[in-house]
Amino acid sequence: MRSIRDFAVNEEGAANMAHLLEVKNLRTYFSLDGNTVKAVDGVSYHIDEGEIVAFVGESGSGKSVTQYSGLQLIPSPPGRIVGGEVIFEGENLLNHEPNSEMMRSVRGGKIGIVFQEPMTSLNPVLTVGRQISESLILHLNMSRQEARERAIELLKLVGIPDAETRVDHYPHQFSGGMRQRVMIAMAMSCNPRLLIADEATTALDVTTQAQILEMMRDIVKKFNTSLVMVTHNLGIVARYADRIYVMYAGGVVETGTTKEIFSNPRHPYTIGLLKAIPRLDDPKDRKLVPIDGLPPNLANKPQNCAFYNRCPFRTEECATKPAPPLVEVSPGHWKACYVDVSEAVKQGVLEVYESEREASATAVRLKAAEQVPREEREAVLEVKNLKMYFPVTKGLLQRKVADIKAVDNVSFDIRKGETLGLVGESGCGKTTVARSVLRMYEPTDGQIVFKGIDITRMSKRQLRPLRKDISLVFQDPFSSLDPRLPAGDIVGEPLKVHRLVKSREEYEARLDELFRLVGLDPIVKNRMPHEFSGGQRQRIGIARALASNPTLVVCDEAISALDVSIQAQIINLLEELQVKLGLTYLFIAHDLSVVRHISDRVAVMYLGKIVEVADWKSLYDNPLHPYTQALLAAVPIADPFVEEKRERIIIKGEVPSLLNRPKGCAFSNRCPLATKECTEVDPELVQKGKDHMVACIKV
Amino acid sequence: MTTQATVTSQQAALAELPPQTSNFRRFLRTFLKRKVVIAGLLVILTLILVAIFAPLLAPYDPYSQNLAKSLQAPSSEHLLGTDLLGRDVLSRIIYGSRISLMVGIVVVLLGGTLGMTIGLISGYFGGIVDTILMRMCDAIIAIPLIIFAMAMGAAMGGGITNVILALGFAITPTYARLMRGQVLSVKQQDYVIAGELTGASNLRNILVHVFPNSISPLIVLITMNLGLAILAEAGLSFLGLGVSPPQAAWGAMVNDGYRYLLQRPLLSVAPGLCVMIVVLAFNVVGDALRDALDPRLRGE
Amino acid sequence: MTAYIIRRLIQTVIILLIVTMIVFLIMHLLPGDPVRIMLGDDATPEQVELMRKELGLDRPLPVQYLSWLGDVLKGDLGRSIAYRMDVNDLVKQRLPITIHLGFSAFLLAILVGVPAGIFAAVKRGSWIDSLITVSANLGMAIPTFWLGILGVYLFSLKLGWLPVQGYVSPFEDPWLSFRHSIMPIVLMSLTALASLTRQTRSAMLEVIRQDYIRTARSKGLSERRVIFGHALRNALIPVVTILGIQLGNLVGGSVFIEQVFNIPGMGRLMVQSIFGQDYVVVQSVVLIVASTVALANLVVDIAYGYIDPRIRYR
Repeated sequence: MRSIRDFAVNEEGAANMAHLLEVKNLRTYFSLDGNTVKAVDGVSYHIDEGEIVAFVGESGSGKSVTQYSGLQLIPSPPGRIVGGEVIFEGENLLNHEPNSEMMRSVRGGKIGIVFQEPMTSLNPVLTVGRQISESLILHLNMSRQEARERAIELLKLVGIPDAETRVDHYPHQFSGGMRQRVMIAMAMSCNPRLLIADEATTALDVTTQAQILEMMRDIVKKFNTSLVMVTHNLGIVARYADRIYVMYAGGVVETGTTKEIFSNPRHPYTIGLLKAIPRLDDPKDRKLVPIDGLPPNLANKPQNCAFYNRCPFRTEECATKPAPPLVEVSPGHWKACYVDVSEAVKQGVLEVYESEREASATAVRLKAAEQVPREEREAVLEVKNLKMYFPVTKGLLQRKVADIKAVDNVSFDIRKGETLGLVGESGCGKTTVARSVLRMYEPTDGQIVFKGIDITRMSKRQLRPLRKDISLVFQDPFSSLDPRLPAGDIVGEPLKVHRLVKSREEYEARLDELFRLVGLDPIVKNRMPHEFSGGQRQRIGIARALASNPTLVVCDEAISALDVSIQAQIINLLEELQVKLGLTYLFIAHDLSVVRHISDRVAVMYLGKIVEVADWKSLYDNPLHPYTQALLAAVPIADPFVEEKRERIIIKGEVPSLLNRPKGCAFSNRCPLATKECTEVDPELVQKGKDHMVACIKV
Repeated sequence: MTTQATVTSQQAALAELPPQTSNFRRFLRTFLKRKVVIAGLLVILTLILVAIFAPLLAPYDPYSQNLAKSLQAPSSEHLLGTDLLGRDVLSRIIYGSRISLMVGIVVVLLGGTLGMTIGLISGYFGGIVDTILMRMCDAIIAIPLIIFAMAMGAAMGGGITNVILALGFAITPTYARLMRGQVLSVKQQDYVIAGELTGASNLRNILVHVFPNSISPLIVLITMNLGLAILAEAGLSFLGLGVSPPQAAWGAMVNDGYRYLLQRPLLSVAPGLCVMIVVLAFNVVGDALRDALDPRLRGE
Repeated sequence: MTAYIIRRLIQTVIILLIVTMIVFLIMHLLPGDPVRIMLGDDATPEQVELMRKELGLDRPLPVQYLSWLGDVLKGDLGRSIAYRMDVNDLVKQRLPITIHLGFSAFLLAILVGVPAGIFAAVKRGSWIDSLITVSANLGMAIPTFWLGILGVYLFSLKLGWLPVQGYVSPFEDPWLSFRHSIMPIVLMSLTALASLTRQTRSAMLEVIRQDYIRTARSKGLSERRVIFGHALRNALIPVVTILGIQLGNLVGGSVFIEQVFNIPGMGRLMVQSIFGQDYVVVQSVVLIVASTVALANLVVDIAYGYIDPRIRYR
């Protein structure tokens, strides 16, 4: 299925290949703040008919800009295409003006593109049908009526129910997943030869993402359209892509078939990426190997290899020679590196590299945990039958008509030194649970007991002294730090509020200690937040959370907004700190692999309820609840060989809104095991194993 | 406890700190992007200097009358001519700058302080207080500025002090609304929530986190309002509702000169031109400030 | 949508109520004694007291307010001291004039200002954009009264094309009316025009940055289609919301124009009444003006609710 081609692949553009799209030496630069940012610096690639090609990289790698350059969608005051060729169906697109007839007929007509943000990528004042029809009328010369009918067909194709009615609805009347389907319908409307999906599923829930990706794959195979997937998620790549281009700092560093790259990565960055991400099938004590350091500043790109400063395999050569060109490792497999990172070398260096680090913090903890069983340890947090309902008001007098049951009878506890992972998709209530525990709201019902004290109904004043024992690490490193305060002041605020230090010297000393704890040089105390990178800002946030010596730290999606290679740094940091300071974590996330890696126990939430809770091993090895099973099946593993053999469980439908909660079991309208009984009874959590509870009557 | 490993990761982390960029320098660069801003700043500076040093700069006493020399054309003695009562026009214009500047500053100070406080309280605490305050602001905004100032100024008895009070009161709602909007959006930001979660008191949160992050657009508003206040005062003086004669104010001068428009157009044109130039300067500077303070343009 | 409309309606009523309170309070800050003014300086204290009782000025303030409010709601705006007429009659004479000029100026401001703003945004950075932006800035800085005077100087005195003063109703003599009103209308519209140009321009620029515009371009639509089919409607939404305020400013400007051109409209009436210490008239004029603006805002908000599908279809 994958290889319809029987030509030899030759990167130098051999004549016996008729690529659908061939890009040679593309360079796109941006002028920002007086500097020239080399966003794309000499990128060459090709796409053939009917294949799925992935562009992998982190932010700043240039993977998106590369695609936009081909379509000449680069905003022209700051950006310009400086050089290269983009040959599509034999014609060099760069020879044409961005708004010329040729370019415009290609855009939308021959090449479709689906963007990342479903919430803002559709025009809010035009109906969905109009927006799809536009392309049809323009490129295929259809009449209004014909276009409308075709639009309805397309909506059906992408799985929008009630297409005949929905075609006249406005974007805000659709959910995120639905909007993305509409975008795909729009992009595919004129039967393009090539579809570009630019992080098209990144903003979606795990299960929705799985549905959309499957659908996209089915559609492109059906119409023999080539698909370019731009993503940072190696799991998706492993599951869907035929070939990969790995990009870093504006250039391609490695390329080859999916299986080849995953089984035999040769560029240190690719190796690093694969080692840095947690996988669903990892051993528990596998330490994530982060890629230290930061990507280079593209306004000031070094002349030598861009990865030099972060590369564990670097040599003298790498420091002085210019940026390495792509060299062929094996047919179809190219890398841009001077060092021969063969298996032996890899093992050797990595062993040394890894042994320089502490024994995996998790392994240390697990050992400690085995000493004292959890029942005997102090309960730091006990949540009993927590309910958080938010009233919905309607009409003139703002009368309450219903409740949004954001959290509906949730109970759990966390023992000292433990990490409880809370997972679920949007609307499941995990963030509300976190906020309730932090007493940002007053619970509608139930009890929250923190270190033996019932804090459920305490007033703000009563809570104040307790606030130093419980902290929060936020998701967004950019909005969680006051942009007008220097880093030191931000970290030191808890010290001041709770009067934890008695003198200026003590204050400064404690600040220094905190900065060092999170891996930052105390010198940077005086810098402003905007001078730090995302990962560094997150470290500052963690330092702030630790300042008052808390017992419990709530991490609310603390790593979701970071690049993959940085995520590993922060995960390791959090684990080290947990051992060092004896912290207890409530770890909220939607990334199942990360949660598995860091948690001792995991609770899965759906529409305000916990559907399954167990120790990590039981949950991931033996998930009992159908939702958990579907959730786990939806997460792609970064290993194409494993992915090939995996069973796909694609559940239908989307997560219903909290206002339209299905009767009985919340999952009943999507569950493959559901029967009539399920719509009558709302299941309770029932013990099914030593430390394993499930809320499902079918189990 | 700290082994080699942690040191390596530390070194890596700190080694990568980007060079210290000056926020101020970026601000300045965006601010001065278009060269008119410099002209605007110069005009404002000139206004301030002229107002302060009026007695030194004016060739004549603005009040001294000389009926013999009434309505003279511009000459070497009187660069802009004389008005009906023989007073030197140039000197009156120079002294008029004092009124304009003073009115502008005091009005904005008054309205701004009152408005920002109301906005802060309304935005941070919300609830019934917020609703009441905002409805009151809506009501004041429904009355056009000039009309409001006229009515209030007249009701209080006329004269420049009352005009200042009236104008100050009239612009309060614009500040209140803007501040409230800012506070509402800043309040949602994680760093404010972080402050609350540390256990900081409301007062501390407001002073340390909310207020400093809310004032950027208000600075722009202040600048624009300086121009607006000067314009309004000139208008009211023109109508005879601002300064009382024989005080020299630009608006009043325009009114005085209206009757002699055909013979001595300069009597009306000159002071009006001054108003326009000054207001334009404030607007241009205000625009540049808005661009320079826009966080998006700063690359955040 | 109906809930939205009703809510806005109620808000407007509340605002109008507060306006009446403010107007009433302002007028009763009068340091002077209206009775004394009416009767003259040589009136005896007894005569003053008698008059006061007659006018009902000896009652407590809240009572006076409610009584006045009751009258207003019945349509009785009181009696002018200076003109010795019912205020209603005065208003009947003057209001149509101000409406004629004001509405025309408003229309002109919209018809010229909005397209200018769009044009400037589309041609951003070019000389046309600079020209339009500079003109708009100038337009906002020019004092309306000064502009009026310049206009009179140029077009009436020097060139003699247009009459200096006065007003003629279009129903009487259309051409003469036009000659009398063209300059006041144009001058009155200028500030609002300039402001609308700026607002439209910045709204357009804001919209053009949005993601959905990038999507539109990625479909291969022509630039013209992107601007007019996609950007424009979105940009007009914020512009519509400020139209109410613009009307208010325009009414404020009408005071000066009516003064310069000696037009017997509401603005002029207000100025004269202030000098005549005819507080009943002043009160009424402010009330009428404020009500007009508040109602205009209501209409605008309702229109906005129709234009923005996010409000129309929740």
